[in-house]
Amino acid sequence: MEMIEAKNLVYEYIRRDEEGNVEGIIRAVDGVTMEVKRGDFVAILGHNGSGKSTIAKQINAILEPTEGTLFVNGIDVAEEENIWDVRQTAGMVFQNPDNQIIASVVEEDVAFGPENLGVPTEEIWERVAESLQAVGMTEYRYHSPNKLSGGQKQRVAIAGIMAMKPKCIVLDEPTAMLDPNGRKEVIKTLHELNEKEQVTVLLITHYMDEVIHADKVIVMDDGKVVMQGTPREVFSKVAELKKHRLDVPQVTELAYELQQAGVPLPNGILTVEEFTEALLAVKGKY
Amino acid sequence: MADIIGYVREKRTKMAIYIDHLNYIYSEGTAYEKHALKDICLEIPDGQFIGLIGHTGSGKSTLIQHLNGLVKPSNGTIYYNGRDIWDEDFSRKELRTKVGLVFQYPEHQLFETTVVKDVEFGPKNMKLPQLEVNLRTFEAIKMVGISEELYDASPFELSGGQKRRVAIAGVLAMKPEVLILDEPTAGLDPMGRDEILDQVAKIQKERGITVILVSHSMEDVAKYVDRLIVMDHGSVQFDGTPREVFRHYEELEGMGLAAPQVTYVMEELNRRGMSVGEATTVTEAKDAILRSLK
Repeated sequence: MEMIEAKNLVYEYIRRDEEGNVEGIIRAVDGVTMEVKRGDFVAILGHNGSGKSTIAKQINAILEPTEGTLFVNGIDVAEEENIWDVRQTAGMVFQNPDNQIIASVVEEDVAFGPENLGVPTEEIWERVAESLQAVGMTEYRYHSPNKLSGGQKQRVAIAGIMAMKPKCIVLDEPTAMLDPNGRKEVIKTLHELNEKEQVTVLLITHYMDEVIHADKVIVMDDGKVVMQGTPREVFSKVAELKKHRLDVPQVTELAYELQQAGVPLPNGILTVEEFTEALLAVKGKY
Repeated sequence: MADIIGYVREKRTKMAIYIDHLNYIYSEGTAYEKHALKDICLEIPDGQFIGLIGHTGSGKSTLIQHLNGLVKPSNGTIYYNGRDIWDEDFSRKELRTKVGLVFQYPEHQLFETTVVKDVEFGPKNMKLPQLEVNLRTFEAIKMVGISEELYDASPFELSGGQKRRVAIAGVLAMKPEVLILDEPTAGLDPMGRDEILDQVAKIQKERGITVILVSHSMEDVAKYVDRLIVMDHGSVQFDGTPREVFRHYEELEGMGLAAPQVTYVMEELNRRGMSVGEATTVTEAKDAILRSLK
């Protein structure tokens, strides 16, 4: 059983006029079949409007599948009585940190989730301490969230999800509003949670450099899965990615441009080190 | 002495914006007091494409809000075409049409029923004749690359990237001499980012206006701007061409910033004995590497 299994998944947004007649139907998710393995770090890429956020909302049972099936840890998201199970299994973090923080003290914010689940008080405080530790925010435990930086706020939001002990975290562009430092903090935290706590991570993003260490990258366009594979496999196809309005990391692009100019570099270079090694090897042949 | 005063005055008049020892202190005299801008001195001539970078809280947003008179300096002076913008008889209302500020997520400020109505709001407020309002509105919409079928669409039906262009058109329609954009590409996909910035660069060239681009993307500023200003802890730390500034990548990292990835590639190649020189964009790096391979 995989953590997330989607088969021929469809979602249609139906627009109605004032009388309730159907004016238009937009198929935001159009026959998606995909899986996320237990313990994996998976990234979904896609341009604005490609359907990736809609899928995230389906995984969290915010939106119900129009057609097809979606199982989260073996639980059918379409069954209404499963909603709370699904949400406890797959926690969700959104783009804007300010919309997700509700309490006036960091520890209370983190405690909100487990409190709602009816966890005994003593255990709540244990979980709060563990979660803050896991995201590296222990020293801010008694601070006011509104004095934190964007990256710190997102880490508090992630701690709040972790305190509910989910098996999987789904993040919808969690770094879109952060500066480079905040982005690094959040991505590093996610990799640590994935490795140390074995939480499955599904990261939706527009930043190509955030996904080079993922186990798997899924590319969506027009509601469909159009590419998937390891970061190296996906980023080897520069022209195809650009067709889907996406990009590659700058060093991958540089290698691709040099290839086009006749320099025999290998495909799918992802880091500065790989590039340097490959180019020095090529230079020997000149 | 008179010569010096004359020289300074002349210089101030020539510069579009001249910032002279600007200081800004938040909540002065309270427990929350914060020295947000410290003794900033900058000259901003006409027609430059400037990038402004710095981590969250470094003072960039506070600085740009000073440039069109939204915030009053605690001390120091800002001159616009040689005139102190806080002079009693200086019209800051007019200044705001000349120094156009596009805030972060400007699409949240769209409110009209059609694209055209939203864009014409600014020039209408300037009490221009209707014909001029129409001319400016259509010119601005065309400039940002919104196609004709969308003129009467509700701004709320557009995609994220399109909404943002409409919001930018609303500021362009006031024909600003200086255009300030606060992270205009936040939240857009890679192609959407390129489209907006290409458009801004084109407008900057065609109209010869000054553009100040606030950005978190080192790759973007390296690709587009002539001059890069780096802020940290309320002061200007670096001011030069992207190449000059990114030479200090180690200090930039200390400020929570970085250089574009290709700058590190070139650095590493040089260190390993392949002398390729410097680069801040993919094109520059490609050309330099090809030269060194020949």
